[in-house]
Amino acid sequence: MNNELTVKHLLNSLKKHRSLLLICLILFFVFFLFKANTYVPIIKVNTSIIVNNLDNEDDLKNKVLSIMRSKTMVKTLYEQFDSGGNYYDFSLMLKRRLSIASARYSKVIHLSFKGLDEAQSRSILNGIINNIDILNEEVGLSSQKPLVTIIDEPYVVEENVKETKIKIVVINTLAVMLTLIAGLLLFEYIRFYVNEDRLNI
Amino acid sequence: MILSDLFNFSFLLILLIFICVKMKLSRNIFILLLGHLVLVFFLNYFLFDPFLFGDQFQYLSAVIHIRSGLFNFLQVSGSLKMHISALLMSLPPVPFLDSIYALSMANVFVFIVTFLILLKNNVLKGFNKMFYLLYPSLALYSALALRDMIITCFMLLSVYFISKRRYFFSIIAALPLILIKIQNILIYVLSFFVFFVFFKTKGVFVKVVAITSFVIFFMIFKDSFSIEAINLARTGMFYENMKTVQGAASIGSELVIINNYVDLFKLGFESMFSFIFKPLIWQARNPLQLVQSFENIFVGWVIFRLVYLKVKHKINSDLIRFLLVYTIIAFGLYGMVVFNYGTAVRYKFPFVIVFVTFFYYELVRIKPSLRGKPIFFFWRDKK
Repeated sequence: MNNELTVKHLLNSLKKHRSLLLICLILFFVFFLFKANTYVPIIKVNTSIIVNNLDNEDDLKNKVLSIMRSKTMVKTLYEQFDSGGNYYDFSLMLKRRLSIASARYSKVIHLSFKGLDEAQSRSILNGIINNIDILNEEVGLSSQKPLVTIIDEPYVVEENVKETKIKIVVINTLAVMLTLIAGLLLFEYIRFYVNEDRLNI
Repeated sequence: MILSDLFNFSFLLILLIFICVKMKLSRNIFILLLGHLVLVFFLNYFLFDPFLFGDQFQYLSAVIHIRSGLFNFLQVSGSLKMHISALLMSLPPVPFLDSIYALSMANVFVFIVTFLILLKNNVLKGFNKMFYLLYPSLALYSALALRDMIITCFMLLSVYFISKRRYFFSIIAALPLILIKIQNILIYVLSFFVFFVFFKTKGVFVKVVAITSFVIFFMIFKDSFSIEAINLARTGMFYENMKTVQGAASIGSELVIINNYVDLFKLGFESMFSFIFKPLIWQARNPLQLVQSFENIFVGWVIFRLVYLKVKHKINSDLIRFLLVYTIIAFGLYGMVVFNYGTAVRYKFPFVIVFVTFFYYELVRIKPSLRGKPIFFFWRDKK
C-alpha cells in the first residue's frame, strides 16, 4: 500500500465524488437564481464640491477635508439625523457608507453615500456640506467664507441591477462549489492521516 | 450578498492543501498554516473594530483601484508610498480583492510563500520554524490588510541573501523598501556600512566600495540621516501619541530634544532596551497591549538566550555580526522616535523575526549540536 498522500490521490477522490459535486452545483445554482430575484438594490448618491480658495491658502482643501472627517461633524450629523439611535452605531454606519475622495492637485472633493433610502442619503450629503461652514466658525480653521461651493447637487447613481444579479448567481455558485471541493480535499487529507496513525499504532 | 470572501478562502485552502501535499509538509505545519488563514476572520469585525487599524481601508481602496485597471501612477491621489504598497499587495493570486478580509488573505498568502522559500532553502528548521509559525505579532499583522507582511518579506529575503554572501542580490531584495518603508532601508544601509567597515574580517577593496557607496547614499538621503530629521520624527510621533488620553498619561514627561551626536548615541542606547520591552505590563492600557507586553518578555528572553548561546559557544560569523548591528541600530533608532506602544510593536516585529530566524539558523549551521538545545530554558539536555 502506498503510504504517501499525492496530488493524484486527491484529484482521484474529487473524481470519485463528481456526481455529488454536480448535484450540489445544480441545487445551489437554482437557489442563488431565486436569491438574485429578491435582491434589493443599494442606492448610491454622489455629489461634488469645489473649495473656494480666494485667500490663497495652500492647505485649504485639507482643512475642509479634516472638518468633514472630524468627530464633531459625526456628532452634528447624529444630532440632526439619528433620533434615539446609538451614537457608536451611527458613526460606524457613516464610516462604512460614506466615502470622501479628492485627487492630489485638485480642488474638487467627491462625496458618495450608499444606503437603502434615497431621501436619507441625499439629506446626509447635504447635511455634511451645510455643516462645513458652521463647524469652521466654531474652530476657526480658515477665514474663507463660504469654504465650498456645490458643483453637482446630490444625484442618484443607477446601479446595474442585472450585473449584480448575475454576479450573485455566478460568484456565489462558484464560491459554494469551491468550498465543497476544499471540504472534500480537507476530508481526504484528514482521513489519510487518521488511517496512517491507525496503521502506525 | 456576494460570497467573494468564501470564494477566496476556499481557493487559498485548495492551494494550501495541494502545496502541503506536493512539498510533503508535515500535518502540524499544515494545521498551523491553515490556522493563519482562518485567523483572518477572527480579527477584523470580531476581535476588534477594523478602524483600530484604519489604514486597512486606504490600502483596500487603492488595491481595488489598481485591480480595476484604471489606475495611473502619474495621477496618484494621496501617498505614493501607500499606492506602491497597494500595488504589491494586489499581486497575490486572490481572485476577488474587494474586502479587507480578501486583502488580509493576500497577506497570509505572502506569509505562506515566504515560509516555503525559507523552508526549502533550509533556513527554517527546529526552533526558528516554530517561532516563525507561532510568533503572535507576525500572526496578527500577516492576517490584517496592512503592508507590514510585504515589508517583512523583503527584509527576510535581503538578509537571506546576506547569509548566502550574495550581497548584490541582498541590496536588490531590499530596494523595494525605498518605496514602501524608507526608514527600514536606511537602517539596512547603515548596518551594511557599519558591518563592512568595522566588522567584516577580510577585504580592503570591499571596505572601500562600502564607504564609497555609503557616502553616495548619504549625499542622496542626507536629510533623512540628520539630527533635525530625527528630532522632527520624534516630535511628530510624540505629539501624535499625546493626542490620545492614554498616550498622554503613559508618557507623562516632556520630550527631550536631541542636540548633538553624543545625545543621539546616549538616547539611542537607552531607547534600544526600552524598545524591546515596550509596552511593559504596567504600561498596558488595553487587553491587546497586555498580550503584547507578555509577548515582549518572551521575545526578550529568546533574544537573550540566543545571544547567550553565541557567547557561551564562542560562535562568530559575518551574519551574526551583521544581525547584531542591524538589530541594535533598528531598535535604537525606532526606540528614540516611537512613543505609541502599538506602533512600537508594529515596527519591531519584522526585525525580531529577521533576528531570531537568521541568528538561530547561523548558530545551528556553525554548531549543529545546538539544534536540540532548549531555547526557552537553561537546564541541560539529558544524555
